[in-house]
Amino acid sequence: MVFSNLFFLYVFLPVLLILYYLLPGILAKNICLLLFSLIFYAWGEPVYIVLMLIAIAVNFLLGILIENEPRKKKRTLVFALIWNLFLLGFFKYSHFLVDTFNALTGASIFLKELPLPIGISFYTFQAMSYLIDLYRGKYSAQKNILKFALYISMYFQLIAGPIIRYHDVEKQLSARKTSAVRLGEGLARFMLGLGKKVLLANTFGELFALAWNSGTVSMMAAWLGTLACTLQIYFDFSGYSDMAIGLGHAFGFDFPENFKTPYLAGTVTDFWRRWHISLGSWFREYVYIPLGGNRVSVSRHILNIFIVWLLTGLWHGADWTFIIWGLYYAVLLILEKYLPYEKVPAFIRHILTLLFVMAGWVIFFSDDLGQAGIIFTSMFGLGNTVVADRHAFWLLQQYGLVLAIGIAACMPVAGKIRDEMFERHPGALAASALILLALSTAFLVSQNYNPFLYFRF
Amino acid sequence: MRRFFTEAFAVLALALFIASLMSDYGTTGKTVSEIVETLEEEGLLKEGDRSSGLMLRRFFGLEEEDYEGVYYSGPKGFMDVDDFVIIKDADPEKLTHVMDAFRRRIAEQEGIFASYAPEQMDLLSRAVVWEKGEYAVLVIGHEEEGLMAAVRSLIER
Repeated sequence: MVFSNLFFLYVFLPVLLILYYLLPGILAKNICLLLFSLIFYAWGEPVYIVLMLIAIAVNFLLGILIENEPRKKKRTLVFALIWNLFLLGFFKYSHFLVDTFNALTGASIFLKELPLPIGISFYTFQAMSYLIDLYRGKYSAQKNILKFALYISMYFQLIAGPIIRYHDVEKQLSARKTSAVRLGEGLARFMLGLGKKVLLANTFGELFALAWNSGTVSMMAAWLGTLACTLQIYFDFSGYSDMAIGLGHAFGFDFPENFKTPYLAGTVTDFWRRWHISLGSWFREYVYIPLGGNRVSVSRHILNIFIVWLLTGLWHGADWTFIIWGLYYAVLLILEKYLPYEKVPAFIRHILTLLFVMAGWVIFFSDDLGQAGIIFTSMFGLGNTVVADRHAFWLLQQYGLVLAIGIAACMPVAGKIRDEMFERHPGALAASALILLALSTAFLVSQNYNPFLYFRF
Repeated sequence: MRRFFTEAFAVLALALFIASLMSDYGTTGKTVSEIVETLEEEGLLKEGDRSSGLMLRRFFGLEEEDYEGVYYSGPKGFMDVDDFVIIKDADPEKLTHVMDAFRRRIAEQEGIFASYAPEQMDLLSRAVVWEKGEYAVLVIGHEEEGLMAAVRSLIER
């Protein structure tokens, strides 16, 4: 099930909210939330609910083992990491590995293609962070399997993040506040995210498809398509994060922010501090720092950055485009680190950062490197590319206004208006949220299935 | 001991789940005869439609006896492009071979009819090559949409 689905909006969520708020005590609320989370997950792919339950049971037991047998906790952690990485690797990467092996060796090994379990990258990362922090002694093991299952399977962020660390919600699993104010604030944030996804991201998705898939791509159409995918992924993913954080808030949880106006970043390093913050901090804490971070020799530091970004690329998908995309960022970050980049005027650095990020999305969104090459060729007017054609002007005429709205919505002023409304004008906030809900509903009625981009990761 | 049981549970549970997924094709497992019988009952195929194994070898290079179950209904005249093939076999390599043969057949037919037979080319452009679990299906002509929908409903679980 997806949040931008009429059944979810008008049946699943209202029923859950009513039940949740009527039920007395934290135990009943937890059971209610857990059951609905499992139903939510099982809606599209019921078989994989078994896999998630196995992951919950195994990680729960391993957590207790780490705590109860401190002398062997390192061995247990190693086993747990191998187990979780195998789980992720088998379902996400086995086909890619077999195909690559077949292509390199001419072999014809056959492996049955299985659908990717939704959210597997998110819940295995959550489970691993729980066990690593437990090993490090940051908290005690969770002894109540209901609470642990709820931590892993909470439907708000289960399928597309943010990746929640256990210490962020440890106390809230046992005691949390719910109130009419929290409910209102949470739902308003949810509807804001819904509007971002349905009204903006889906519209930019249309523009992107029209601009890039029009046979010969003019320079102007290539740039319009690239701008569209840049805005689409931001509103799609940050919209989902808003919805997840908003729903969490409504049910008494406080999740950390996942986006902080990323397209205003002054450097690529800064961009990754503002984009998908939960993933960046996960890799920093559990991969980069254990590898030595930047407190090592220059060559080792460069290697560390390459390892982290190779893994970040791979995390996004089993495809060469994602690997190249990750390594592209490794190169950019190394250049920023070791070249006198700070001497470049701030405004130019900002423009360069935007261009680098947009070029990154070209690689990210391309079906293969060949398509990325064609788009880059068109963007920079190489080969036989024309500067503009009728199709590009038509696209600009049709989507110009929504592009302007999208760009404005990336600015901090949009966040300030939102925060101002949350703090001082609850009436206006509620009215705006309801208008967004009505508009989104009108769009959803006429749209087909439109999953979030990050579902496939 | 607790460690042994926990780790054994982790490995076994995951192995069993993966094994069950790999062996489950998500199909009904019906035999080709059962599928064809139902299609005949529904009036989508006629009893006399079936072509011989010789025709299958001639047009596709496939041997009927190599597979668990085969049904083939081929063209009746030189200008016909009606092909309906359903083959069942649990060996994925064999099915890959079958799928290649299906695609080769379509390409050959297109080579024959290109530039002078628009109706045939239209039917070929709508050809359906479909694989699910242990089944491979080719439909060209034969009112492909209705037939394919019926086949899918009989194969998919």
